Amino acid sequence: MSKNKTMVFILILCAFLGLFVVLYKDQIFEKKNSDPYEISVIWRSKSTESSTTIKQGIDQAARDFNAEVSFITLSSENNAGEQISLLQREINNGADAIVIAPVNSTDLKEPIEKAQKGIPVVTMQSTVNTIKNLPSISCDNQKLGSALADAILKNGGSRRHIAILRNSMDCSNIQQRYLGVLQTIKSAGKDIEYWEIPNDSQEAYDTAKGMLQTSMADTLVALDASTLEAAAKAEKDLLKTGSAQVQIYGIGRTNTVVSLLEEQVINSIGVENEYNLGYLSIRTAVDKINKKQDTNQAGINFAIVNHANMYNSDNQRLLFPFVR
Amino acid sequence: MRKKARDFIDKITQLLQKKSLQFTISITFTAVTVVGMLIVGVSLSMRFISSSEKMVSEDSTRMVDQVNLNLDNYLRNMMRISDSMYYRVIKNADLSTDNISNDMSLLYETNRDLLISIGVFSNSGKVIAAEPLTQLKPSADVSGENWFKNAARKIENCHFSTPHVQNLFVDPDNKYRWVVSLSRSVELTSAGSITHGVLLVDMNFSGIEQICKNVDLGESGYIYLIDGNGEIIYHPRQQLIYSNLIHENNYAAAKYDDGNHNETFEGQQRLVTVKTAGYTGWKIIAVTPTQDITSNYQQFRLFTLFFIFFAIFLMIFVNMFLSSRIANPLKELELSVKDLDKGNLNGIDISISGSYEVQHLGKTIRSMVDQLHRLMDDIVTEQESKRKSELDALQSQINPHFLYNTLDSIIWMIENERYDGAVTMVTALARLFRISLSKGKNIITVADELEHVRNYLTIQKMRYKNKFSYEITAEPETLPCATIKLIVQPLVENAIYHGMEFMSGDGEIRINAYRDGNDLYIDIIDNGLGMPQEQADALLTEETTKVRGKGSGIGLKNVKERIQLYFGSEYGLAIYSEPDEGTTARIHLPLKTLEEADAGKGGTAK
Repeated sequence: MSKNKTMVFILILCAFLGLFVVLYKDQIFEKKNSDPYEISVIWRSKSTESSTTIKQGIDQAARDFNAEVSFITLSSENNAGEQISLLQREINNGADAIVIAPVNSTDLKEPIEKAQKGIPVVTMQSTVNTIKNLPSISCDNQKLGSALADAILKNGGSRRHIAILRNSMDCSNIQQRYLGVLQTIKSAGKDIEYWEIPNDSQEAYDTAKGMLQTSMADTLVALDASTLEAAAKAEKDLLKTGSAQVQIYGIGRTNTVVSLLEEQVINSIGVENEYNLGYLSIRTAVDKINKKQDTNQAGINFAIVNHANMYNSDNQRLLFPFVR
Repeated sequence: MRKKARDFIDKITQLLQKKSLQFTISITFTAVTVVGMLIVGVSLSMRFISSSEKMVSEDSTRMVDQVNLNLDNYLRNMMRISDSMYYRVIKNADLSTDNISNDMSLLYETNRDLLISIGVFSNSGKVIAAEPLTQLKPSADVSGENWFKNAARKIENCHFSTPHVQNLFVDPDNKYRWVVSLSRSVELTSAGSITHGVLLVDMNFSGIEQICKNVDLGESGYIYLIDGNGEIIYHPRQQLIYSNLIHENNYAAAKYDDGNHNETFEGQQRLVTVKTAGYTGWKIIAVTPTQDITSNYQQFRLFTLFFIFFAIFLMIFVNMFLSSRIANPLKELELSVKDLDKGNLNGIDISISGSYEVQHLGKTIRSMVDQLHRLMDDIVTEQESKRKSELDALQSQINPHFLYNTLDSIIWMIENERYDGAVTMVTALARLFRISLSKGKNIITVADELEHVRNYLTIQKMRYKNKFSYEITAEPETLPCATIKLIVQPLVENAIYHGMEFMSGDGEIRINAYRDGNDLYIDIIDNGLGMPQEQADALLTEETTKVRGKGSGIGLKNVKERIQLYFGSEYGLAIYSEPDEGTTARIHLPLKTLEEADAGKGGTAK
């Protein structure tokens, strides 16, 4: 064969080799593709009890979207400084995205804005309202609040003295719930008093117990699970001595809250679909990593559950996620 | 149709006939390769696709069967527990006197991995015995539960519920577990009277989950479980379905018969394998997205296509290489033969290369050319010798004119009694003839040739009454040398007829034989009228040299031709002439002895 033909032969051979690589790059570089996304979820409290369902949603999403999620709780409730330093640490550790439940809007605004320049940040449950285009996964907390208040008005009948238990009021979702509750109750012309409940569960229990014994309130409204649990426990303990008789309403679920609901210590609870919350926050984070346009997120649904309807099929799915 | 095909084949054949061998071989081989590879590739890929489709559906069926077996096993276990409880414990006990809690506890402990709780309830929903927890929740409404109602309604059957949260007993740990309830109606004996009650066995839901979870159905295939109404019992992403984040085609699947189905759900094609589990009427459904299978095909198709093209490409080059190996020697041979065809017989080199057959062909053609050469040489020699013989014969003829004139002169001399002259003339004539014959030899010595001329001149001089004089000189070493017979005499005859006849004064003819190097020259010089050099040159080239019908009739050209026939073209005859000055005819011969000449050219001369 002539030199020219040999050259042509080698050229075409190279072309074939190139084509081979292009065709099989998926298989050759498969390892790279299977590298999971590293996503850090920064929670806003120290207990994991109230977040089990969220975690399950997160785990499912991690499996579905090939992510490796580290779930980080704080050493004390609602500690903004710690949350900021954790945010910084996770970014430095090379997280591909951050999912965060901001303790409050003021302290976290700047760190989140800063973090957003490098990697996607998604907020969950609570958010920082002052940052535009910050992806946020939560249910409509104000509607949840109003729905709960509606239940109070419906069941309360003659009761007119309502105490709102305030805790973590910096959190945007708590604020929203608070607003929802307040608007509805105020419009019904009930008396309202405000109880400040501390973060620590024991202190919260003690405070609630003290208030229950002294206050005139006949109806309590708690805006998050830990406050609700503390107040309900206090009420239950007081019931044994037969000293207090209040109706308790609240938002959020723990196993204790559910059993107290079943025992009718708690009258009704508002439950958001926490499983979806966890799942969608990770899905959104992965979408953001892949620079996907906003997909139409299904809204997070919620329900007001009392002891009578807690075992109907929809509510039991909401209240008792499958434990795997 | 057949005609068209034949026309097509004819056309291709014609087209190929015009092309070179290499092209034909390459194109034919390549075409055969391409067709072959395509057939192999396409049939392989079709086979692969059909077999892999079959494999996938068989795989699904096998998986579903396996799950069915495990599930069946599991449920049978449950029913066995229920049976044991009923037939071994409850039937044998009188509830008014016997406590069945111990037996129940034993049964529970043996199967605690599978069970959440066992309970026996009275017709009104009161707990008769239960394990491990016994205290009913105040809110619990046993007789309102579905499992209770079902058992009470169809008393002969076992009833399996869909998964639900166990909410009957007070649990100090506040644990809420998902269970599948197996309930049946039982007969309770209490103080001899028989009442109906319900036996409840709550199975841990994770037992079912374990059976279905670790089933491998390809990349994104999975198995789920529904009851007869399509309600989901187990799904690997059950919570997502409950949360409405994803959906499943469970209600449609409830209507499917057992076997494989293709369905489109939410724009996704999928292969669904359905199997109804024996007792419960539950359906095990395996889902394999068609995309999982077809993405495999795509890859395989690409792979096949790639290799088909790669193989074709390789084959094309191999074909080109092979065809050039076959065709190139033939091409070279063809070129050689083309040369031969042009008549270029000398110095062509017939190439011998390539395969055995082509080499053989080359060798044959080469030997043919050699033979041709030999034959042509033979023809040339034959023609030469023929010509020589002709010329020799011509030369040997004595001009009858000359003979007649000579004899006439002799008669005349005898009549005038000049006997001496007659004797001289007869003697000279006799010698002339003797040398002319020379025993038939054509090559004689220079001495003989000069003697022949001398005799001729003797006769002519007497006939021309001494009108000219002559002189013959020769270098002594030239005398034994070889010359062709009768080449000097025609030149002398010309000199006499054309040089002397019209001369007024004394003619003079000089004959001189001498040697120059390895050459022998014989000059015939006359001082006759001469002629322009052009005319002299023409004498040697023109067809006829008989200018005036006199002389021996043997032209100068013949002399030259004879010399060249015997000794080669470098020898011959030259004429130098100048008007009124005379003419010199110079014979140029190789310096050879008689033996040498005989051995060389004489052989062919005879």
